[in-house]
Amino acid sequence: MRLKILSLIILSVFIILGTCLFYNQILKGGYFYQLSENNRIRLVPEDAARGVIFDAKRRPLVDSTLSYYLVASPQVLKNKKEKARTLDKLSLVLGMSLYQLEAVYKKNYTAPFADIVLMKDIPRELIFKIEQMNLDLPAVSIKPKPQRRYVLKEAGAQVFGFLGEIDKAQLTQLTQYGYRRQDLIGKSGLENSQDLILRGEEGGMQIEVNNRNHQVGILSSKAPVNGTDIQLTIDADLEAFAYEQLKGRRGAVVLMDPNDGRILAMVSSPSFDPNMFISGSDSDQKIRSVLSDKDTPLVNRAIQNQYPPGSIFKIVTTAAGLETKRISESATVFYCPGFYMLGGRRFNCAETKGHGRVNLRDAIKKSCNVFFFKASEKIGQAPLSYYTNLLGFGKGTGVELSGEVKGLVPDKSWKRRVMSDNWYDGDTLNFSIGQGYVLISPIQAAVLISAIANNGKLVQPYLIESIGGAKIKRPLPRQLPISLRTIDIIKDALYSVVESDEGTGVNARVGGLSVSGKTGTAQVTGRISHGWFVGYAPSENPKVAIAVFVENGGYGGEVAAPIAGAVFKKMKQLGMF
Amino acid sequence: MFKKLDYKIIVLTCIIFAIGILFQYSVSYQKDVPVFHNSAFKQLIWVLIGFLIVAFVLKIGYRRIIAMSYYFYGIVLFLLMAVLIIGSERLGAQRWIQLGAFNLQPSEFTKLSLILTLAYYLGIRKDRVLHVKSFLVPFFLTAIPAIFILKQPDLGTALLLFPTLLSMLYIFGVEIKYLLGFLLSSVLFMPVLWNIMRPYQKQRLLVFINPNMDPLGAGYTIIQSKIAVGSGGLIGKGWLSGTQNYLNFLPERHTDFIFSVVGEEWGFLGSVAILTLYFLLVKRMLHILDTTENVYGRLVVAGVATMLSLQVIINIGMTIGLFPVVGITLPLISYGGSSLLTTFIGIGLVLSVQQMA
Repeated sequence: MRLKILSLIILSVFIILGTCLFYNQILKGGYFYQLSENNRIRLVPEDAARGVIFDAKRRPLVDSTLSYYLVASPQVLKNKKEKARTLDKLSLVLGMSLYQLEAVYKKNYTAPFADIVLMKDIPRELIFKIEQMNLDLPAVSIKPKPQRRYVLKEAGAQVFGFLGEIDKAQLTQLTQYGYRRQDLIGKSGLENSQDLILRGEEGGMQIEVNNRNHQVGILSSKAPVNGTDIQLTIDADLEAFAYEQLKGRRGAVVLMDPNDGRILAMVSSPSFDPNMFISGSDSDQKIRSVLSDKDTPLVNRAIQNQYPPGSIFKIVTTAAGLETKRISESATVFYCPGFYMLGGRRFNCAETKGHGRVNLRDAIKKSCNVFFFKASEKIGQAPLSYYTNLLGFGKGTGVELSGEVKGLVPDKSWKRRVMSDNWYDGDTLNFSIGQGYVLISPIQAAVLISAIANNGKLVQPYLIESIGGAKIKRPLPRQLPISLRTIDIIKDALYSVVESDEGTGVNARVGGLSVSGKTGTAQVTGRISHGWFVGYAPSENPKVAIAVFVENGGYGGEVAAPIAGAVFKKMKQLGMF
Repeated sequence: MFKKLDYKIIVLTCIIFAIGILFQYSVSYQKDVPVFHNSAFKQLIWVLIGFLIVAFVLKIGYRRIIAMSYYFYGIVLFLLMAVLIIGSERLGAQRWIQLGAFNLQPSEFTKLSLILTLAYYLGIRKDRVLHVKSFLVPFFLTAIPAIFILKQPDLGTALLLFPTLLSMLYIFGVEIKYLLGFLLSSVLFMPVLWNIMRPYQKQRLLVFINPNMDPLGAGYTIIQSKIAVGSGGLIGKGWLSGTQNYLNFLPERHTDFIFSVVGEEWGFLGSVAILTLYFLLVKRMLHILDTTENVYGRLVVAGVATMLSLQVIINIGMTIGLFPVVGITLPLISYGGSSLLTTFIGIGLVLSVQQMA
């Protein structure tokens, strides 16, 4: 009995539910259907403004302007006749063939009710023409859309990055974060690494329209959430200037505050204009030429490539020698005949005539290889590898960009593992002058010279000052176990490199400013050497450190040092010292 | 182990579940996203675990499981307390415990352990049906976990527990006057309940009474869902073609609001078909209840059948604005491991009762 009643109760509730469904879906179904489809409901997406990237003085580096898109509503074009008529008229105005237009329509179609983008960034005169025709073509409309603008164009393009449509692999990964098809996403640089911060959340309105496509009400809306602004440590003037100096050559410049690692400028050349990835009818061809360029303009040479450091590495060798007490400032004196023989092999000095008797200071000043060959025999491979690792090589610096290379710090086990060979004395010789297996990136070179400038602290370079007005907290630079005495000896020698007339870095001199530094010329088999210069200024109280790298540029003192000098001079003019 | 199984229940369960998979696929469908990233795929993995568990339940037999019910009850109370302390906050409520890659939702399992505990307690007292203790103790056994769940806050599940208790007591044979007294006192309890609700729950209830009060905020879900279900009309817009579904205007689509997608894409006919499938499943369970002599078994089946029908009714009612939005899943169709496993264990218990009858 009770069971029957229970069964009856459940049945009646199910029947009530069914009745309600009947009421909603059949009796009022027409109304809801009209709301949801039948051209009565429109989704008007509202793009969220992407966050602006500012420089250290709050000048925009990357911001957004408005551009206009031509869109068509597939709901209206469901009617075949209407579609043919609309596309026909449009093809005349746009100067595209009907076939092309059909292809674009098909390609950009996403859903039966979502607008189809027919043309991006339409020129002004077309806007007026189309607006005039709009009464006649109800399916077509013009929509303003924010368009990314890269103020400095080529300068720092690899640092800021560029936007592109999300690809399949990214979509698969990011769909859970709310990314959708045809979304723009940062493809490189900060646009890529900070995409989640910069991108807002798309909003939209569901509006009810009448049969003439006029809005009669808002059904619901979701306000777009704008992206967050980011302020960088980069100075727009220095960024542009540094790029000007490097333009026409392959290479990179990293300029930073040696005391905390704030990057004031980071440029890589050759470069590209990120603006062209977004707009313009001929952009496709330009993009293709950028992508296929064998000089790889998309690569950020400051962090994404690694090179032999050449003589700038002698700073590391010196530190290792002094700290292990295997060499000393005054007692270690070697004779340089212009070459060094080891096991029947000849290792040349930069000066083929020889430097004669040289002490440590002279060896650094004149960049004598023989001194360091002989010194390295005393030091040995293990301390050399140890101090190389200590000074930040062999791992990424942690700057807020993706794709940073680690560099390479060779040692015995590495050679055994990778080359299946023993470590020879000749390897130590090459290692000591930054040749052979050791590889570094320009940003690592900037960290090295900063560590000397700031009396032995390892800084973590960074580009982002604040996000949405909130300053990013940074850990203090780590003090390395290197004595102040060693640092002072190196500093003294680096000063003479630039400021003494016999130094290799005289081209970095700036009138009225004391500059210290070290040149490097890294030999590459079969090609012209790479030119390096690392330095800082003012010598007595360093406010800025620089690393200049010119790929296959020749002597560091001739190609890299002048760039550093020019940048220091510019900073002086700007009153930054 | 698989002898004498009620194949009707199995077939109905599989059909409903298969429909669920279709709609999980539709909800998560996005051009260019591979199938194995679709929630339907993950749901299929859950069902494999579900089948294993049903087999396990059948292997042990419901009687031995009932005999252990007090332990389950204790474990569940412990987990509910743990959720309040360490649970992760999701959608404004703490219901989950993170277990490696899985999120455990103890309030789901509470339903089952309560049914088992009540069946055990009442079964022992089958000779003292009319005794007042046979009514009062089950009430407190229900109230304690309900309060914890309410604290999470999961209003829906907490409120589900009492009708289940009522139905089990009814089948057990408790006097009608006690049950009516219980109903009356729960009406009197309403103001107290209102006071312990969180602001968002109050908001939902107010908006439920008048959805136009806040059409862009809290009423948004209800309006969107009503439009979705209503726009399905007689035959629906077709699988994968729901506009409301695609536009992401429906929040919590693959869990609590999956039925709005069913309604939109399959229309009235599809909705009624699903309703009918659920009813046939419940009806079959009640048939098993009818043919079972064992008090424990009868009580378990009564509990599971009531729980299942209540969830279906509240969930579907929610999507067409008949009930406030309380976070109840649609059994076998909504996405979610805890909910699915609970339903599977429940069905396993019913099968076991039938098998051992």
